Amino acid sequence: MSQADNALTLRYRLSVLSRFCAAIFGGYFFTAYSVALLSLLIPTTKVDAVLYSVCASILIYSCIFIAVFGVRSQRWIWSSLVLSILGLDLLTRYIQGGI
Amino acid sequence: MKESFFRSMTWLHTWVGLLLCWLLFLIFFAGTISFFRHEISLWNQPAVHSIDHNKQQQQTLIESGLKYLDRAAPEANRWWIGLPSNRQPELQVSHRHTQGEGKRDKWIDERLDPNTLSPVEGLIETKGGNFFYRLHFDLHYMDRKLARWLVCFASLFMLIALISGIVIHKRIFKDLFQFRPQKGVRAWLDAHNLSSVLALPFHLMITYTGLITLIFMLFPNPAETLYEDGLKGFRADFYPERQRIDASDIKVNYPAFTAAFTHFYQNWPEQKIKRVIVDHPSNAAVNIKIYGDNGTLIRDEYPYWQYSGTTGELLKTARLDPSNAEVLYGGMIAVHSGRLAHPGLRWLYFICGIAGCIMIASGCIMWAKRIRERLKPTQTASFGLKLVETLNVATIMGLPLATAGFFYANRLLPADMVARADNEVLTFFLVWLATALFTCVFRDKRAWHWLAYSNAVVWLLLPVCNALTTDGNLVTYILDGKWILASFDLAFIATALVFYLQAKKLAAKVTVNKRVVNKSPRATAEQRA
Amino acid sequence: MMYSFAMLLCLGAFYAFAMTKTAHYKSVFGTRPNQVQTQRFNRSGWIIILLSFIVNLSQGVGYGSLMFCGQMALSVLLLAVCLTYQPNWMRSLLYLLPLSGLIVVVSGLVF
Repeated sequence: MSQADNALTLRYRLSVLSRFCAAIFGGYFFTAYSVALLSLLIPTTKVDAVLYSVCASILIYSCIFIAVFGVRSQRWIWSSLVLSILGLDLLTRYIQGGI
Repeated sequence: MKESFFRSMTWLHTWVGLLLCWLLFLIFFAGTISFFRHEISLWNQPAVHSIDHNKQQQQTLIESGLKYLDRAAPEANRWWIGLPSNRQPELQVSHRHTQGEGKRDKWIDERLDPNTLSPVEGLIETKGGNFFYRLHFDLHYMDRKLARWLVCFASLFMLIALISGIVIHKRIFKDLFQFRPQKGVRAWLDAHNLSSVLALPFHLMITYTGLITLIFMLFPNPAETLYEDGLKGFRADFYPERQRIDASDIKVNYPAFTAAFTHFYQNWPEQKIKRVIVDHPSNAAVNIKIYGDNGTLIRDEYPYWQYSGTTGELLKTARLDPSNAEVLYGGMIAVHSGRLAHPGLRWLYFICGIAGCIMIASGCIMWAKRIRERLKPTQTASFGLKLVETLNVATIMGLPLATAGFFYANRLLPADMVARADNEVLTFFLVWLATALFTCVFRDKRAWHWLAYSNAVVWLLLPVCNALTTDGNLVTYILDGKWILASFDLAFIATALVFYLQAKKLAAKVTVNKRVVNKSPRATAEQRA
Repeated sequence: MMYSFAMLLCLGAFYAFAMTKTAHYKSVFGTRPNQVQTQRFNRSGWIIILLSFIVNLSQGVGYGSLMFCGQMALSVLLLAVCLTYQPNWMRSLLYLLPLSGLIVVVSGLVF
């Protein structure tokens, strides 16, 4: 990205900031919701389900983080993050019987 | 598409690596040192040095510990007995006392010589290895919760940097042994690659499991989904031994230790004991809690037995047969903390940790060097570059110096000083601050050079200081077979040697640079070689 | 004792891996390796490292694999330092490694 480095425009800086936000916060919430769902899906005792899902959480978080920086389109990143978080949340509530 | 993925990974590696690299260096540095946490606590407490290796049976030790506590603190609400190990020669006996309304209970810690069973005289107040242990995830002088979140994000960035680093470094095994110290930035790249690749499994493991140790702060969601009262409910399920026992009004003379321990030794004769806790020893709510030693098993939490203190019958056990999930989670934490390690593995851990420090350090140095190389002679360095360079020297050279300062403070501060432990820590940070100020003034090569020399001198004099202020020295340690203390002196000397070599190398580089400026043919030939 | 044997095996394996690289081979033996030699080094490297792993595992699955990771790190470190600063020591290492391995095994059997 050396050409981009030289052209440190506001637009470029904003896009970097947005990517970092997507990776850190988007990734965090995606992971949080997905491990919550995961803990409901694992068919073991409650303690074991919690332990398995927290152990997997960092793996999920780092995959999302890498993916956010690997994917080109910012709009795609944000929309898919928001939609999937919503989907995960709905599914969790559905399984818990909240809806 | 593939090419752009590699490019974005390179970019990610650079910036994620740089953003928090000094914090990461601190975490790695303090974490590496805390593999020797108990050894440092031992070194920092000269009164314990004279204790001979424990020859007593654990049964005798527990009995005499309980008797001692019964005499010294019959009114305590909890007794705590930690059995000696190879790393901690003394028998630790602590008792906790109820304070007035609204105040936290007060712990009093005592240490007994396991061979004579009398209290150790002349203890000084020191944090010992616990300082570095806490420093590597609680930092210092700041809110604990905030510090832990910061450490979590730094570790996450580290993990991302590691993964993206593996992606961009396509030739991991191709130039595995490559190190070309004569080639400027290339040498730093070699050092970076070598130190990352040689301990790559360790780096990935330690970062991932490090995050797992703080995972319930980071992601409490699964517990909150499954339990009505969230983490509290989960903890009650996962740690049955932490259930609070309320005191009773009925007095009990001496709890049924004999019955409880006879039952334990009969049913689990092979089990080594790590610690014994007695809750409410003086009233009818008395409970005897036995924690087993895991030895070299990759487990974090100890197996646990709880006996009634009035009747001596077994009330509950925990983790005698852990589930797969418990083994996975506990195993990750055990592998991170390395408590299971014998000296051989402990040193391997230490070497891998140092490799991690070198990986981070060489990464930040390389960034600054590359930017500097790209500068045209007429350009002046930007603020960002100056900042990175200053922070590099201040952290990489400052932390070892500050650590030496901590060790000196331990030996030289008066034994009866008020808040002595805090002053040791203060010395650490003052030395670090002084280094930082020094590097703000001298930012160029000279700062590296001088700090390397001062590190070498300071670390070399540390064994001398130790010999002058305590009864032992390297020779007597070796003669008496006190290998932990002897290896401290040897490690100090080795550290001094490394810094001396670095200083010499830096001095040579300065002269080479001068020769290049003079355009002498020999220097250019050397450069080509 | 078994762990030091495994460490020596690990060192030997990475020695063999280093010798599959032309530059390192040249700095130790002075000549270029031919293809057969490179292949032989590579194969023996894999066999020895597998042996080292097995010896480690035989002492304890969890503890042994931790030791193995640490041993690999130490081996690469030692070899990289040796190749950079004292490549001619590598040739003596070629005889010293099997010899010390033998000593460790024999003393392990005797004591």
